[in-house]
Amino acid sequence: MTDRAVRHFAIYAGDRLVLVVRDNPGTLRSTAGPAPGDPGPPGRPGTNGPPPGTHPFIDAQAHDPAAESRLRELLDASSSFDDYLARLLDAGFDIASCRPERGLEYELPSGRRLYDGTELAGACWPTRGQFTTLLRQPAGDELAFDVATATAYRDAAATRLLEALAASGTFDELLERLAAARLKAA
Amino acid sequence: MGEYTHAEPTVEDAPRRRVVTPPATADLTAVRSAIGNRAFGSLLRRQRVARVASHKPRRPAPRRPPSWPELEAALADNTKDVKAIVGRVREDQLNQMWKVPDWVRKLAAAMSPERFAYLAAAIMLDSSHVPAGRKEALRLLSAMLHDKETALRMIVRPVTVVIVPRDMQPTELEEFQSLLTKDEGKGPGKTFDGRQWAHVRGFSDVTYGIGVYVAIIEENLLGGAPDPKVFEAPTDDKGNVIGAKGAVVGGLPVGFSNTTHEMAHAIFRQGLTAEERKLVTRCYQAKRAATSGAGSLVANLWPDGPRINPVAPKRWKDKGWTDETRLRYLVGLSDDARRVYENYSSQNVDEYFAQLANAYVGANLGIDGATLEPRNNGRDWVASKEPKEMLDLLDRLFNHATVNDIDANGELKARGRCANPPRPPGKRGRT
Repeated sequence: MTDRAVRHFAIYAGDRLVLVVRDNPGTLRSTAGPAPGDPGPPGRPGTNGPPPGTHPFIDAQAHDPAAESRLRELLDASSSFDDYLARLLDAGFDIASCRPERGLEYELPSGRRLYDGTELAGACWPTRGQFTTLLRQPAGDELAFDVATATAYRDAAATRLLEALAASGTFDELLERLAAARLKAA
Repeated sequence: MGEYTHAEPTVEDAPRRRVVTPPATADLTAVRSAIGNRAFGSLLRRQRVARVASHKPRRPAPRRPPSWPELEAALADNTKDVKAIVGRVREDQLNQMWKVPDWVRKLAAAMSPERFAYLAAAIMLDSSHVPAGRKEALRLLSAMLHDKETALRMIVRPVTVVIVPRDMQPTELEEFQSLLTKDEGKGPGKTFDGRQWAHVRGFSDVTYGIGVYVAIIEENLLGGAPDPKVFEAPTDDKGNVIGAKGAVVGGLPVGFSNTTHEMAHAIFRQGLTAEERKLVTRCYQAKRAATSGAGSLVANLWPDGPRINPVAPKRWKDKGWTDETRLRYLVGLSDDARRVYENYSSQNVDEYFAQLANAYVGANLGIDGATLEPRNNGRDWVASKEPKEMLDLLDRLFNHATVNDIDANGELKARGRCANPPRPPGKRGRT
């Protein structure tokens, strides 16, 4: 597997896309009309620093007005990209690999959260898509499966989830294989 | 700037009220003062008591509304005036037609695209807060609904387009109150980039119940500026301040329609098929790729002009930057970091489509907020800068419609039709 240079995830509330995030300093963009324009230079000529107002660890585009306030609140409480992802999961959002060159999936078919015992371990959706973990994301179309889109939220679940994906011909079969691997769908 | 004509609504144009029974006291101002703006907005919705006082009819009650068979027969007859037929149906009845999709589909099959576009716009429009804006809103929305299948998907979703009065915060209206209190009241009612939703004038794709709602604004339909009081700090049901006061801003440029912009967002999300959205995405990404690098970043290929302004603004030059040093700096930034300096239509695929739609219908006047460069406008411009597959899609959606009368350069013609016209002198406050 080739890791992406910059991780790029789509965040869902239920089946609805609410945010697209990149693990890179950038801007926070709302669905509301344009924010104030050119923020001016970063300093004196020759400065190569980021533009004024650049977020230190994330570039993000919101996609659901009703969720924006909560998403920003969680971001403000976060200390890093990974901390933000963890807070999003705790708040009930789900995370899928984003392949923007294929167009955003604004709605996913109803998915299932996966639990390893009582711990949230991942999620899967019955539509073609990419397998990813939160820390390592495949490049391009690597690890794309017809049977499901899937994310391992815990590294301990990654191998089991990937093996079940590779062996399954249908979404129901995937859930059966995951259950046999002690990953129960809620 | 020349003079522009604008279809100023008449009393005859105004739809009949949903219910025209005012409260017993008829003292709406006193009620509003007593319970606060937000609760007053909810009251209006619940009781269907809109501002009847300023819209007293000059003539007796209108004709009997048509029965459903009469309505169906009249709408299916393409020789009859669809505006007159639709005008005989109460708006709240039109707004319920999404519940009978088979009947609407049957009508769609029988009606010409232009006539069905008008009916579709009337089904989606809620002008109950601003009856005076109804005629102009229908003119603009129907220009964008020429593709029956797209319109049907939006009707069935259902999509509702609500006109927000110029003197109300959108979050005072029931459909948009969730923006203040979503997430069990934990959210502070802010946009992701930190603004107050209460102060945003126009947005799309707000889910409420089973529907999707679009907020368009009175001042952009009838011209002029919003009432400064809409930028006051938002309050909750009990009148407690729950946000900060915002900076007062005026109206949008003459000829720029954020009505069509927001409707384009709704079309993109709720009307287009997944394959059509992928086509738009491909075109967006191709344009991003074609405007990367030192030379092409400044190419004028986007609906809102070049991706970045090649000339350093004064605030940069005041700090010693030149055009060359600034351009070198911008080229060296990552795509993510550079976005704050780039035009609005290049920010993401949603804004690209919305601004491209605006340009197509001739409503993309003014300058871009980030680059300060003029926006591009008109179908001719779109045809010259977009691939054929994108132009084909827009032609199917909008069928060469233009909501402004513009010349070959995309500029407004004097005395022509104009969305967002200059506000006539002396007209202030509510219409």
